[in-house]
Amino acid sequence: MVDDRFVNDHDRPDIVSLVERLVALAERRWALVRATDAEPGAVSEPDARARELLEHTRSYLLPRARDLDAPLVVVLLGPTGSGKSTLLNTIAGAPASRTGVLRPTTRDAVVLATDADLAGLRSAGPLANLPSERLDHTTSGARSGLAVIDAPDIDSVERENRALADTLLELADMCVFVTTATRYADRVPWDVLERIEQRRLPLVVVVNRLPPGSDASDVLEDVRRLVGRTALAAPGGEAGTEAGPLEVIGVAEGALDASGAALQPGAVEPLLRRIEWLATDRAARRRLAEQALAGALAGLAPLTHAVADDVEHAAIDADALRRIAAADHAEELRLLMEQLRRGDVLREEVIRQWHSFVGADQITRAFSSGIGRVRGALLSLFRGMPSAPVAAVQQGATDDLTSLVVAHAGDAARRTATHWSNDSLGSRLVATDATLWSASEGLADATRDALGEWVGAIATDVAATGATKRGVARGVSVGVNAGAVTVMLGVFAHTGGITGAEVGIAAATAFLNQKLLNAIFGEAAVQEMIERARDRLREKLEELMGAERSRFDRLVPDGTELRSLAAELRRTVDSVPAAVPA
Amino acid sequence: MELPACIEALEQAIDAAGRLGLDTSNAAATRRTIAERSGFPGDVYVLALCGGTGVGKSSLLNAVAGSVVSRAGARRPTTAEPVAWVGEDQERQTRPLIEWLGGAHVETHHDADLDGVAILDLPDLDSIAPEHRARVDAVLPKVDAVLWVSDPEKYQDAVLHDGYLRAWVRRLGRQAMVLNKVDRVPSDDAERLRRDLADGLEREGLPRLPVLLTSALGEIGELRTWLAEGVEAKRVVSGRLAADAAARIADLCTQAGLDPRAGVVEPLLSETRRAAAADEVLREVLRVVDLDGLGRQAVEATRLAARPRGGGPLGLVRTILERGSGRSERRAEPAGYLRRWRDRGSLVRAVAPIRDLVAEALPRLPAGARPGIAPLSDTRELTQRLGAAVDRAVAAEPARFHAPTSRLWPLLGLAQYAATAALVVGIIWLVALFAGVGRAETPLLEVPFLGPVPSPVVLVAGGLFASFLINRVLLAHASWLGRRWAAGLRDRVADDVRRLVADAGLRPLAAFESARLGLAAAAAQASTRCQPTSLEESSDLDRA
Repeated sequence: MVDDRFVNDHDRPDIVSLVERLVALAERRWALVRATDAEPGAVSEPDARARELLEHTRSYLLPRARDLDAPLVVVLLGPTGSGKSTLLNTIAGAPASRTGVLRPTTRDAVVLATDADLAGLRSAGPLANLPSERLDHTTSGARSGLAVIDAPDIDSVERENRALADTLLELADMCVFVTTATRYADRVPWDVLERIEQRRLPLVVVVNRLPPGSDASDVLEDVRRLVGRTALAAPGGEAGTEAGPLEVIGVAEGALDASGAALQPGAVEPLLRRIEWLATDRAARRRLAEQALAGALAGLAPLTHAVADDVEHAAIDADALRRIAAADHAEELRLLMEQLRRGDVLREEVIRQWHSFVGADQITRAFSSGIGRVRGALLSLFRGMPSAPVAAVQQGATDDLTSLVVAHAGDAARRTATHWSNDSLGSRLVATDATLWSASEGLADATRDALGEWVGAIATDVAATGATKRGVARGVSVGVNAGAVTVMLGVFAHTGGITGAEVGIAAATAFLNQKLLNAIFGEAAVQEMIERARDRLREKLEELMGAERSRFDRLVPDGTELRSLAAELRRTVDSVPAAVPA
Repeated sequence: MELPACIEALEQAIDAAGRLGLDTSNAAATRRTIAERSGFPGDVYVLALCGGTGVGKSSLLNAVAGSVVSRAGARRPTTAEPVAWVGEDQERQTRPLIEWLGGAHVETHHDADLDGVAILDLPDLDSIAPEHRARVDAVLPKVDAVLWVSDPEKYQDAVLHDGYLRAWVRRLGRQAMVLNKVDRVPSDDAERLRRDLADGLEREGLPRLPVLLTSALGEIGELRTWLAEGVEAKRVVSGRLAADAAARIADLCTQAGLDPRAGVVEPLLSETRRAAAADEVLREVLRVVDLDGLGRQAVEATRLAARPRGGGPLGLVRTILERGSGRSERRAEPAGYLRRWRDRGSLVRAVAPIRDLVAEALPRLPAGARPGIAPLSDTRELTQRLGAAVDRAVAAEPARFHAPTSRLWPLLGLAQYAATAALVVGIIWLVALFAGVGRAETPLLEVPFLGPVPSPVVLVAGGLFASFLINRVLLAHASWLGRRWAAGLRDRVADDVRRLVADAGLRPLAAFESARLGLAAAAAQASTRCQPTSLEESSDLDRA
């Protein structure tokens, strides 16, 4: 025993580590399924594949690659009412699993194994990841080295049963597929058989409830024909192994023993003989385990590549959704910037307040030259310098700008949500959160804060520029904050040489405003300051829109990460050797 | 159960759901099917045998017929082509109906008890032959009644329950479950199976259906009794169509997030909430329209209007001089001031309350119905609507903007002329006096005195003072008149804006609410008038 293990470990360390890597990758893939949780109930094909890969690598490949001599797991699988429990009772030679007429009869898996074997299977073996409340254990009739599991059905209204049966299929070393004369052409069981074929699981088919007479052989023949359409008919192993061609065992209707809970032993004699032989012959068990492992490794590539394909498709979908969100938000930002450039953002109410300041004689005269300046000085002597309505104008401008930003962000969110709704994944994601249809709740406050910072930055800029200019004294007399508001208004209403005779207070204010700025700082410096302020505003708005967009981005996995996961899956499975070094 | 009322309810529901932005294609397809089926004679109803492969549908039909009508066999799946079993007398008139159902191999019979029914043996719904299932799916929307056939092995199959019963039971009228091959289980187990099946349907939230037990050996007493129940074919046909219509209406309700059985529907947004939003919209719009500015313009316009009439010669001259300076257009033209409201700011702030309303309503709708209401918060669309409404509100009849006049003004004007004349005479007199100083003929002392003051001085001072006073009176009167006018003008503009703007801004939401009410009303009508006969008992049970 010790020697065997040593040899095993020595021969297959690369396989064990490869499988370990695959398990890790499969876990990453499965985590993605959780993240983008599909609609409850229905399981999509990609999600089912992700689960298959995880269960198969984690619960079958890894334990089996580590230890070929661990107890062999034979799973009885089939549709509801096909007689799996009856078959288990027959194998055990004792009532092990409940049988009955109400469907589905078996809701949890029934494991027929010795205590020691079950402990081994549960600790680090194939059954380690199954919830214990879904496993019933029975020892009567159990044989050491061999565990037979009666699975729940694969096709009843109990979805949970199907999930457990699928998991058991992935961890089996051998499958006894139980069906009936009524059932054998059902589609759902054939889907399961396809998976059995894909993972090259050694298989025996039992057809229960055969009608009497020549119909029985008709049915068996038809089953063989149908099986022949899949690769299942191919011999299960090389010459000399016990698998041989696919075995189909027919059981006549009503071939029950006296208790009614088991078949007459003779009815499934070939199967019982085979199980008996596996139970007594350790070498036979090992050969079957090797054969199953070799088959599983060979059958790993199609599933893994299919999962990698799924991941790549998910990456494409994710990228497409992110692009939609990016394009919609960029478009709204563009419209917002355009509106800012047009300069009709602020209400006249706000501008008029500023106009009464910059339009006051003391101010205009103060920055003119010659006799006007003298008059201005005299006027300010009598009336005093008017104080700038800094707070009111800043508040008003911030309010106006904030409502504009919120409006555009709301439109961007609505556009993105609408576009996502036309996509199957996108609509699922959007459905999770109704607030995605409008701007985020905190946006108004965030915008106000950002604009406050923006005006603060302008003030700093004004102070710095003013300190180096001739107009420093005048600038100080007006106040740094008033200067900041002046520059801020310059961003929204920069006239570029309009004469001021225009109708409308906005243009007049813009003109006066610019005159004031030019007088304080000089024309070139004003241009620069306004440019800088405009750039900073753009940055702030981009940041705000970016935060809005990230609400959508967060819902979608990262495409690059997905692609690297797919590539790693492919690389890993391609390096799995075709045959196990025995 | 009245089919025309149901059809009307279905159409109403489709219309309402369309206005809610829901997908109505399924309901519309049902509406078409109802129209098509109504075009065929209703003397015979089509009863389909529906079930998995191997449960014995064909054997059942053979047992009912008493001869081999449909081939039964051990190889699965057996029946690929539907078989229709029709009374001989009905064959001619039933053929077009069967063609409409997709065609079938027709077998005739002479069983007088069953000549009101055509039994259709369908292919299976669960085998590896996908075309069989497709055939069943194509026929089910059109048949009049269904027997769901299963057996002790298959009666809890997911395909049957999730794939068919859940989707179809509500859409059908006359139907029953058949549990075939009960002879394969001990006889007391058969009753347990019947209960298990019936309870299972209830657990899934489906109406209770009769469960008929039959045996593979041809004991079909329960089925025969069910078939022979005195049902009139016409009632079966219209019952199915009505059930289908009601089910589609209920589906639309579910899509819209309405409980089809609730009857009374709470609006998404309460009346008071919407009224509050309308007030907010109005306040913001009026801030842009600027009623205060309008008032100032109106007062100024009245004062300007008073000047030429009551301002005497100088007022006239000033009016003529100022004409063309553009001053009056800027400061004293209320109509133009209103028209230029767009210069005073955008309506973005006015739209915000409506957007908030929509955002508030969104989480109350199921995800599938949200795309229907979201467009109602489009900023551009809303500002355009509001803007157009403001334009309409401010573009009232021009007469409203004619500044008021007063009979008093010409009188004041006359007085102003008189005062001016006195002033002029006084000035000329004084000038003449000063020019005459030094000449002997006209001595200064000859000037008449009024008290201690010489008359020309009295004339000049009196004229100046009178002119000033009259002007003050004129302006005060014009301002008073103007303020009165302005107040009325403001009220009327505010009224117009209130009326047009609130309507324009909130009409789409109101339409959405009324569409929901319409859908709920259709559902209420359907629930009272489309209940098919065979389901009435179960709904009674539900209520009890």
